[in-house]
Amino acid sequence: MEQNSEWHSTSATPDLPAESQKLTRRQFIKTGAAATLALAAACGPGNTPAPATGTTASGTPAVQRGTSLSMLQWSHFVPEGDAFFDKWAADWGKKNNVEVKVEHINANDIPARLAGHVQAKAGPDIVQYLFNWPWLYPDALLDVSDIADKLGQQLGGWYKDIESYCKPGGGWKAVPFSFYGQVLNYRGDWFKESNIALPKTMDDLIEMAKALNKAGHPFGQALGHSFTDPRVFWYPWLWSFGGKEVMEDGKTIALDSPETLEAVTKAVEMFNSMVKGTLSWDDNSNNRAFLAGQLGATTNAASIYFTAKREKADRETQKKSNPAIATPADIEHTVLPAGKAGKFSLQSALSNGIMSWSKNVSAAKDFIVAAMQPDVYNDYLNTVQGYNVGPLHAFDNAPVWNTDPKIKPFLQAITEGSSRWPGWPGPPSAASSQVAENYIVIDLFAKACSGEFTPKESITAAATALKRFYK
Amino acid sequence: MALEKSSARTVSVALPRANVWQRFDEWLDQERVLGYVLLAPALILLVIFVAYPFAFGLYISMTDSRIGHAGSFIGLDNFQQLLDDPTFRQTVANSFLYTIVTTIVKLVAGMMMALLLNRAIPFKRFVRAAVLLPWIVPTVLSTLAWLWMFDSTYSVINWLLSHYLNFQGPMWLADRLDLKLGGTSILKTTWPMIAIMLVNIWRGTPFYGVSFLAGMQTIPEELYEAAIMDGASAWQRFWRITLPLLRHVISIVLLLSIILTLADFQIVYVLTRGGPANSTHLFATYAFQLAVPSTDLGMGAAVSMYMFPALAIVVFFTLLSLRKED
Repeated sequence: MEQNSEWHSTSATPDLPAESQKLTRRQFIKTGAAATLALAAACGPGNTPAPATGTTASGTPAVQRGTSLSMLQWSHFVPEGDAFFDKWAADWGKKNNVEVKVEHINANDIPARLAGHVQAKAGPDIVQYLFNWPWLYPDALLDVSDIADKLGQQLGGWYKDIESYCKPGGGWKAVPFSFYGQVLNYRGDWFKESNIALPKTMDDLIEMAKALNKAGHPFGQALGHSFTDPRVFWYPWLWSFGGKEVMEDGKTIALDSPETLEAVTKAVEMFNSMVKGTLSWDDNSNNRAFLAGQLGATTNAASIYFTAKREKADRETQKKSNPAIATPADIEHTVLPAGKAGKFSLQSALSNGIMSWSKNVSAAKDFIVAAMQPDVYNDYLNTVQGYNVGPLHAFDNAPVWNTDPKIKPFLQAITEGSSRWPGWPGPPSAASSQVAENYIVIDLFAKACSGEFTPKESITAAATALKRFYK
Repeated sequence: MALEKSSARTVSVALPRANVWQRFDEWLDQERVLGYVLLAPALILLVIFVAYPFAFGLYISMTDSRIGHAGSFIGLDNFQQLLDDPTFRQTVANSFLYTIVTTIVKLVAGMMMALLLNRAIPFKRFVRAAVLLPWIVPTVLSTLAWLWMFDSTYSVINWLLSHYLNFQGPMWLADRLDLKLGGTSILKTTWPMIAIMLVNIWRGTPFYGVSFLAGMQTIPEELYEAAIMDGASAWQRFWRITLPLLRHVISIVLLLSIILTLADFQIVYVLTRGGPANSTHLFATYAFQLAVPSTDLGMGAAVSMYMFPALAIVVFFTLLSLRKED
């Protein structure tokens, strides 16, 4: 029986007596327990290595506290923008004895990363938010009213819509960084060739889509689940026909209305003339399709035009064999038209928030303020060539807007004051932000356009979905 | 012996210590005790990484927790609300359709693959290794490649269909499919659902194939020789020998595959993110959608919890069938 309770080592060493090569289960458990205790002791709090920044065991400061700052932000659609910002951040760090790390990830992936950080109460000091995301994490953000108010006073005041994104509960929880203006990008050469007029109303836009389709250069607008393009087109489309998800009180659901029905019905009419596949489009899809010469028009920020300018020489060569290829000379821009209920837009916005767990709040505030100073910010605007638009009125006359007349509509989209926020005419709220994050308004149109539901059924489904958020 | 040579004082101290160790050894020597001691590490890991998260998830699902807020207990409200949510009802239907269709196809294709690989074919070892590639490559990477192949602008599949067969392929990640027979709809679904099922089948079939192959190689050759002597056809040999002797392997492979498929996340997240218009959500992606971007942790956890009874039933019946066979 004793023999049966023993395990024999499979790698016997010939020099040792046979007895010593046996590993009894008692020895195995003792060794295992000893190793576990040793490991636990090694990992225990008493043996935690001293932090790189903090104090030594004797209490002497090793390195001055607050010497590092980390930031999470999106990967810019104009990569030159990221390169400029990263270099500026590193230079600012050197000047101020702060090690600055900026991490860029796909904007669609920021909520997942942020969720983990907020739950763990650890992560980057500064996070860049899109649209109304600050409303989703107000308790994880520090109040930055002091620097936001100061910047507002210094630089001509903030645009109201971007301000609304950053003030969940009244105080500033994020500092606006920029808009990225959304306008109609269209092929001037094809519009001229087919004698297609620019739309002055949303009904004109439908006629434009039909004419472009007939000419073989269709209109294309994203209807998928992605952070910008679907929202910046379909929210204003709904408002332009008089539709709205909620009343002014921000609680009473108002989606089921004749105005919404007209908006959805006309969306289906336009969709039937649009390029195929837009139900699955994300923010990159229309850029690719437009630059490849498959689209006559789409709503977008300045990234399409910027890419065409960067690739100008190549594109002009390619165009000789493929006339559909878009060159900078072919691309024009105009603001979106008004609807019967007025002129509306949803201008995409970025803001920077300081997280509640940050140990370098002072450095983080200095960093955010420094980034908005005209000597830095104007250079940034020049680098991204109209993609970003200043959130402060002082930047309305930034030098970049005089460099190329084709980019002026991106500024006009902001200055004309047509921009609202998800959930309008209700106030910005956590509920309206959740509705946006669940793409309920986008799916209102997508379900009808795909043929899954009739316009009326689609409205009923969306109104039902809204009830979960507006209580 | 060393103790006997020591001084009397040393002996009086060392003996009780030796007794303690001896008693410990004797205690440990009992099979009943040793069994639990050996089980303990695995049990501790299971409690920390499976039981605790499950219990915590169950608790979260009965709260109105949001990201950054602990929330308060609301009983079964989240579960009730989900029953009224049309997207959730579609998610349940999608999850079962996805699991049933892909499991059946993977089972048949995997069996065919194993039968083929079990024969003497040229470059047998190379082929066996090569067919495993879809299973080995990280899912996110291979699904990104599929995303490009299904892309509405640059789909290589549609390009091949159009250039070589003069056939206009569907918008793989957008179009609806309404199959009609004599003017009557016989199947209504979406191409995105078909696309995610195709990728799952492509990725999962090698797992079935290689597992079945391993099972086939344990079947004694004499059984087949005897069957041939008795005049059994290839189909009879498969039906009477191969299949019955593979039952255990098939049960285990099905169990693992159903669990993994019903809880699939990566393929859907990369290809469609649950769209268009929430038409391709599975349990895991809808739970993520509600819990993370929408910050509604309680509701997301409730979606996940709905998956549990389905999985429990599958596991119960599979284990029951294995027991019966034993």
